[in-house]
Amino acid sequence: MIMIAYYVITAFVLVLFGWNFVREKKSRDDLVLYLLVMIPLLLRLLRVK
Amino acid sequence: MKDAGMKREFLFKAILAGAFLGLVLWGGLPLFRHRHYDVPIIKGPGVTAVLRLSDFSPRLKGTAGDTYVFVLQGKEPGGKALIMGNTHSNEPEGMLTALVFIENAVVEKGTIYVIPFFNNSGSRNTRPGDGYPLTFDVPTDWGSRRFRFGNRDASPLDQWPDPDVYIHFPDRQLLSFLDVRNTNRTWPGRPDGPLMERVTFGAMELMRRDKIDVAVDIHGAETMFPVTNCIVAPEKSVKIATLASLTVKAMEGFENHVEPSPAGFRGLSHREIGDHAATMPFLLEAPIPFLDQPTGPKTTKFLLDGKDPFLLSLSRKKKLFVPYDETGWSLEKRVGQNLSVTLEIFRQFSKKTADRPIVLRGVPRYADVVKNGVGRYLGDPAKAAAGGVVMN
Repeated sequence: MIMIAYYVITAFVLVLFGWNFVREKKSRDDLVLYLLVMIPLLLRLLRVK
Repeated sequence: MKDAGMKREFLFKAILAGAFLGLVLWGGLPLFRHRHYDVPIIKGPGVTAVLRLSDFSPRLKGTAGDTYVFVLQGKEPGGKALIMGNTHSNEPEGMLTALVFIENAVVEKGTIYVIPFFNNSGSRNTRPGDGYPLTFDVPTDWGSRRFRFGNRDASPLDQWPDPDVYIHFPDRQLLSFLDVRNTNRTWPGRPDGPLMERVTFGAMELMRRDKIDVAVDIHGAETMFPVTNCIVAPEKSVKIATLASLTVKAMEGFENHVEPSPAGFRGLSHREIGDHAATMPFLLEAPIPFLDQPTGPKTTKFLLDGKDPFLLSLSRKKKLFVPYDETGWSLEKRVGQNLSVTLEIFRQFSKKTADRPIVLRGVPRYADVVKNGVGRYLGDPAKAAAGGVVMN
């Protein structure tokens, strides 16, 4: 149950960062940072790491 | 003008996202392949049945904790033994010792059970911070055999989240949070506990139901760790361990001293198996320089030959707990001594308990493996008979 909740939270946070990435207009640094933070979340959601 | 700006922004974001996706694939694909790579195991001439650990711990079924149990039953009745490799999956000499038994042993009296990948989940995990290789190849007479190189603990993909502190069952001793994924801290386990407790519970049930006399859990330990190059045994196993230690030293010329199993440190196989079953447990530790911290790069070559200039320097300063020279501690020496000590434990047990002998043939000893290499005793899965290979 906790495991499922963890994956739901991971997916939710991933969507939030993805949405921020799409909406970001000014800072290129922020764009890179959004993507960097998304990497471990994506790897866990794909059950790679 | 606005459209051109939007187009440029979209293009930039698409290229940036594509580059990061490329990074994810570049780093992630090898890990994915490692996790899903199955090792072929040839059913040797002595294998009479292949079971699953979930046959003894039903809640393991369908999980990454489930693993194969090879049964080698002799024609005549006798004692029963269990051999476990890869309790810690970054100590591969245990798994290779188990494979040499599966692919070569013919049991004449008694029954031997072999679990080559005891922590199956751990063998599909890695420790990237230490630069571990994901796989390693053992050269053979016909080519090479590839094996997964895993981690000490189960993968968090299979057991998560970790607690702040692991409260051992049933003694309630407080252990490190990480030990909840360590199959040498979760003994004796419980049927509905965390995944690794279900793994150890499966092995305990196997030992209790099938009345196993002797359990050998094979590990490797750092050369700078005091409990290395030894047999760890509790009170009930110490006589046989001592006789085995003295015999291999006298007859085969290598050191393997006996360490007492501490009664106050819970969760370890050499303690809990004996306390929760009639079985006599033995834990073997062969020195594996690869696991030491102050070494050069953790390469596959180093894993196999055990040669490192930094350890050599430390050895000259008497900082190691085992003799160490230019010859290193090769995989051949480690697997060879595990094989000889295990065979000697069986022989001493059979002498002591004449009505339950464990007699087998076909397994090489220390000198054979050091001379011929481990690969000499590993078959070619491509040439195995139909149905003669198990993918683990």
